[in-house]
Amino acid sequence: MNPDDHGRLEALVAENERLKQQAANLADANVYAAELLAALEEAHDRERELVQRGEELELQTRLDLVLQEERSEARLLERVAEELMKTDSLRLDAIETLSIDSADSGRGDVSVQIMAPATVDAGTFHVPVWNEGGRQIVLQMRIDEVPDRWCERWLRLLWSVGRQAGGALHRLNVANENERMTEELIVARDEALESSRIKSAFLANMSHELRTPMNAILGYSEMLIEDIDCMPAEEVVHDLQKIQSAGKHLLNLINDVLDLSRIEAGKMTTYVEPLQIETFVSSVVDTVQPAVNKNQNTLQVTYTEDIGVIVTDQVKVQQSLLNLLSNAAKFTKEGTISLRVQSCTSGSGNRVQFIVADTGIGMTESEVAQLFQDFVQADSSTTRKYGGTGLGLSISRRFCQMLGGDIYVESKPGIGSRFTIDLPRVCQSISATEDGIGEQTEELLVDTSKVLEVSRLFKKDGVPSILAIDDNQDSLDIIKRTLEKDGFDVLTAASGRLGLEIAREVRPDIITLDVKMPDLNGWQVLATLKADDQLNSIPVILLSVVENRDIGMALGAVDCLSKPIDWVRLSSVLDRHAGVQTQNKILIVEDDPASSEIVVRLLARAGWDIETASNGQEAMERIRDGRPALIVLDLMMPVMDGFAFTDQLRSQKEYVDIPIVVLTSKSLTPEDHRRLNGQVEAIMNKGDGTRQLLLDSVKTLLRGSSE
Amino acid sequence: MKKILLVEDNEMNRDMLSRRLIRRGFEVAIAVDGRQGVEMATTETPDVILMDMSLPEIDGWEATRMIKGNPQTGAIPVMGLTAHAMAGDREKCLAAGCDEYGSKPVDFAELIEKIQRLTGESE
Repeated sequence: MNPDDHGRLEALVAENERLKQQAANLADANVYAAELLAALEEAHDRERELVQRGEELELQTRLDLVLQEERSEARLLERVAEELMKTDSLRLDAIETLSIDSADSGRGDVSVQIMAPATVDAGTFHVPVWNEGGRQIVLQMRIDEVPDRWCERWLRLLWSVGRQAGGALHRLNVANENERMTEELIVARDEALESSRIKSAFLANMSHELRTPMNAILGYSEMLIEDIDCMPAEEVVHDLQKIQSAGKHLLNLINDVLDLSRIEAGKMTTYVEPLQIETFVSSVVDTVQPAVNKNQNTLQVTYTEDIGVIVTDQVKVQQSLLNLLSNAAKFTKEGTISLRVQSCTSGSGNRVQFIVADTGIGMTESEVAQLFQDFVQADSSTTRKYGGTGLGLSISRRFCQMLGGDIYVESKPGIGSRFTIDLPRVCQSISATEDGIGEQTEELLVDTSKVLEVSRLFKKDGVPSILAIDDNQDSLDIIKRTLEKDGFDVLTAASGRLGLEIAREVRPDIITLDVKMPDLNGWQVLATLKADDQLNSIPVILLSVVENRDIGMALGAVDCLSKPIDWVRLSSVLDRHAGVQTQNKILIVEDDPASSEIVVRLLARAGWDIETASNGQEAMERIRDGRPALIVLDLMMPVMDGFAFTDQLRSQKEYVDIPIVVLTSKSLTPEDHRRLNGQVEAIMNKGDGTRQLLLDSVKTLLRGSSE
Repeated sequence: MKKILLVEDNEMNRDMLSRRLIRRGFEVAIAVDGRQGVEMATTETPDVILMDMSLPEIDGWEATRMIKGNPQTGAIPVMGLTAHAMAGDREKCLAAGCDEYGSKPVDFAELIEKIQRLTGESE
């Protein structure tokens, strides 16, 4: 190496060193710059965080206000959305929906789903929040760019907002619900007060109306007792007739009041049957003719052509029609009364109208307005001038309403009145106890889901249920009516297919099955039922026009009855298969031999074994000899009365569940009711119509107890 | 002979009461509604008035107020005789100006006793 080279080398080394030094310096500067940058960024982040925290706090304050202030649900959500939009660093360009869904699962837990920023679509995302009320609050937002690392923080905040909004909505709902309930309670209280006022007014009127004829009865009879020696025979007869007439009036009053109370209590039952309208009307006209003649009136009856048949409750329509006709006769002198029977079709189907028009005294508008109120006749003196109890019209109207119809009235003073009884041609047998849940035959045929719904509504606890399958609607109606009277719960199906469906859904205790049906006949239905593991244990009774007992039994029916149906036989077959014992012993406790005899005969004829006792003590002895299935009990008896007997019987553990039906002529005081409450199963008053009622409730109670 | 004005719209009760009162030796004048009752209180000048309350035309409460408000008839004792026998009915009767109250059905012996007291005949 020459010296020059050496010198250059040295210079190069030195240069290299210098460069190295420079590189090191640069690296240091880089690190420093990076550090600086990092510090700067950190400062920036801190600043953003501070801003965000500030915004959060601010947002929180504004939201708190909204959540406390806002009373309307929709507006609350709207304002929450507005507040969110105002927040700059949320960078929401729009909140498209901020809604509540009525989610049905009210689990009450809060499930929150926050999506990690990386997986968030640059678009929409949801924050679903369950609130305590079980309703879902969904915050659905659209964000204009992929969220940065602050996003998670904001999402947490949004979740918390959703939760708070949910809580606020829940509180709002509770408050609204409270308010609504308070309002309802106020309405209910007012209604109760009004009904109590009406009841008191009714009672006062009742007392007045009963005392008036009573005054005549007692007065005349006292007079007769005092003066019988010095009275001419003719006068005696006159006075006796007055006593009789006042007595009759009193009886009518009592009967009307009983009718009313039965309607009020929902105990009035209807019995629907087909009636030849012309035959029916002419018998009513015969009855009312003497009253028509009395005031020299003439009665004209007209029909539209082929008026035909109405399916309704004969007794109730007869009573209503008689009431209208005798009113017309009463308030008309030397005039014309017309009865027009016409058929018409309205939105609610085929209807029959009985229109009674007179040329009598008529009524003013305000008189018409209070016409149907209990005890209010058009003029308070009308009762005295024209007789009647003042309850007839109101009862008639309620009867017609029970049968799916109504009574309408038009009247002009001095010109006359026109009353219209408007009834469906075929009454759907809405009995008072079913209160408005009348079955709609046509709908039954069409809409299965509805049938099932109706069926369930009708299914009663502790009562054997029967499914009747028949393609003929009339047959179904009759079966339903008859068997319901016997205390069964009856479901109907108008085709084999429908029958199978209902059988699967409801699992009735027994099925009655028509054989001849289109589509799926009885044999096919029976075979299907018997092939189904779930259904093959249900007893099936074949009802058929064709006597084909052997095939039926071979296919698995428990019995076959030929049409027309022998109801007594069907009832006993059903009782046998529903596990109902007919040979139950009933104990009748009654001190009056005549009353006792009536009940004994009634119940013995219905197939029960009867034992009697003439007072409570004797009854206790009979019960010790052998436990009866049911007790029919009089209250007022010597030695031990019905109250004491009930107390004693119920105090013994083994007898607490024997059903007691109280049958009394005592009018019960609230104290009496209190004593009997919960101790006895039914209370009935002796008198008109009790026989059927007694028979029905004994049947029902014995069915219930034997299950 | 004491004269009684019986104001009663019910035919049977009118017939029965008037006959029984006549047999007991009273003279009986009859009005069939409130208006007639007020008129006859003036024209008949009875010793006592038996007033039903539920009456057509003018009711018994109003009729009593009118009779008591008229100086000519105000002193005649009026006994309300009514089938309104609920709590408060007695008070309502007396408030209208009746001097005595009796409920229906009528206890005749008690009625006679009250009439005698009102007409100053009792011992």
